[in-house]
Amino acid sequence: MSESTATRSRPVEPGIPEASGVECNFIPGPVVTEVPADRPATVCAVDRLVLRFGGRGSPAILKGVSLVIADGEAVAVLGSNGAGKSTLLRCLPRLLEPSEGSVSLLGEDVMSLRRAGLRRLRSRIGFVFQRHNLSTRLSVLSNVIHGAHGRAGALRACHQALAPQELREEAMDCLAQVSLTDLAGRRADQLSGGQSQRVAIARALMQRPEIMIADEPVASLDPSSAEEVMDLFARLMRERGITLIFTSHHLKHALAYGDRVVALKAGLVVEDKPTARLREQDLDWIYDSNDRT
Amino acid sequence: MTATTGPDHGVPHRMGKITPLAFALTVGAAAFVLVSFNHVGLSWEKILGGGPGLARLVSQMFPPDLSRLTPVLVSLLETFQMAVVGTVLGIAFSLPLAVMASAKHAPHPLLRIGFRGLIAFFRTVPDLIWALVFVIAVGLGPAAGTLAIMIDTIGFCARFFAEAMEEADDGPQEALTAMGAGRTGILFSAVYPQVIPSFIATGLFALEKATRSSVVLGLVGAGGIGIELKVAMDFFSYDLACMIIISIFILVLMVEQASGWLRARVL
Repeated sequence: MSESTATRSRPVEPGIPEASGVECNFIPGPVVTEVPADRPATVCAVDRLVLRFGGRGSPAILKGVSLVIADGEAVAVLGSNGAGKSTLLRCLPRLLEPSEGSVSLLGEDVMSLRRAGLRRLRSRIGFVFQRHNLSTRLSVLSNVIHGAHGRAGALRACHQALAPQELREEAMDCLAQVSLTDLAGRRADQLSGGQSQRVAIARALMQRPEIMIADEPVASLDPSSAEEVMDLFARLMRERGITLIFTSHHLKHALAYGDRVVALKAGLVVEDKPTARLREQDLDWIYDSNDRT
Repeated sequence: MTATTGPDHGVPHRMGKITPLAFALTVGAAAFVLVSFNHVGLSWEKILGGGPGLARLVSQMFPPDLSRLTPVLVSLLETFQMAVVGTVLGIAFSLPLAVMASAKHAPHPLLRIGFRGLIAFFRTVPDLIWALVFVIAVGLGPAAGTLAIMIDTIGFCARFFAEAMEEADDGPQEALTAMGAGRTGILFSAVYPQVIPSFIATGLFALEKATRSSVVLGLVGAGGIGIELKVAMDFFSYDLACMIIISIFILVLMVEQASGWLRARVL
């Protein structure tokens, strides 16, 4: 039995909490990510990306980063603190506005998109943050339903009580993928760090993403939870063939879950190799203060 | 014996150096306070001389006259209804105004400046003036008082709502932005859930404030129990006035207690 089948055949599922608080029986089905047939082989292309906080004279955080990522690839972005990893990830869907260079995502020229186009593109990209960024006063189910904002609209996706039944069921499917259906009705501020991050992953799955970006998704977790969450995360992405771009400080994670490692140092790409050709000790120098570049 | 001094540790001065301008402003402010005391004509003779008059008033107030208890309670209910409706309307209008006045959520900085100015105007004009304006606009009665309370509530709530929204954690908002949510989606999914406790606390404070305000609005004909109190005082029916004051005190106390209890449960 495959892992995904094993997840789906869990014996008891507590069901979707009703808007009124009454629960109903619910058997989770598979989450189908519809991948367009015409999706380009290169899903992400970054060309000479520069980012400065300030005017032209101010120091650059990214100093001309170029990168091409193929469909279905899992890319680990490594680098010490301040190397520009998180900045690079935030520049991809223009959460930060690059100063120079170009970004192409899922065949769209990100830099030329206007507000509505940018929102449409972002809705196709899952983003998991280091600090889960859940709406902590809302229930787990409401947080997962937020993932449908891009396609369902603000009012239908803002709270589980207002969401149509099909969204509520899909959200429960996503929670089933991260084994959290029993916590659907719990408030997000009553979850552990690992549970919160799994809810964030379920929320990203709810977007039906074509690319998943994760900024140090397990940095705030203890080693055992980190291992568990990272394993789950990478497995879900692999099963769906979703391109994964993640940053990490764990060389072990980069080698275990990435097909390729891209290392940044002081805003520049200093290494870009398939993980099959790398060992942990080959990457130690990235964290050395003596600049080999 | 000669006095010895210890090593120089560079102990800071007890007070920082004062600039000539700061010194002049301090002296000017102190002088203004002294002149004001003199100008208002407050003196020990006056305070002590007022004692017998106050004692006479108190003796005429007690025992309170309960003969008009029912009409007074009806007026008190009308006063509270004015406060509730005015507060509810004020909060409803404050929500969109707060968005426009919030530095993080206003669609344009110029709009933010404009709406901040409007809210400040609503807040700085006293509610009694608003009551006078609305008495002229809609006529005597509780409608004028309700509108006055609504405007006063907007001035109070919209400002605090905007500040609460600015202080909301950016994390969930960034997550919603990254998911492709629009401005409304971010407000409803990430901002409002965070600030609702603060909104409720502010709303309850507004209701307390409105209850106190609604009592005096009747003095200018804007409905409520204020007119009963004015008539009682004008006709020297101090025992009746005493009963009205005690009724007002009980109402305000009940609203404050209920609001405090609700705030404690929400926060």
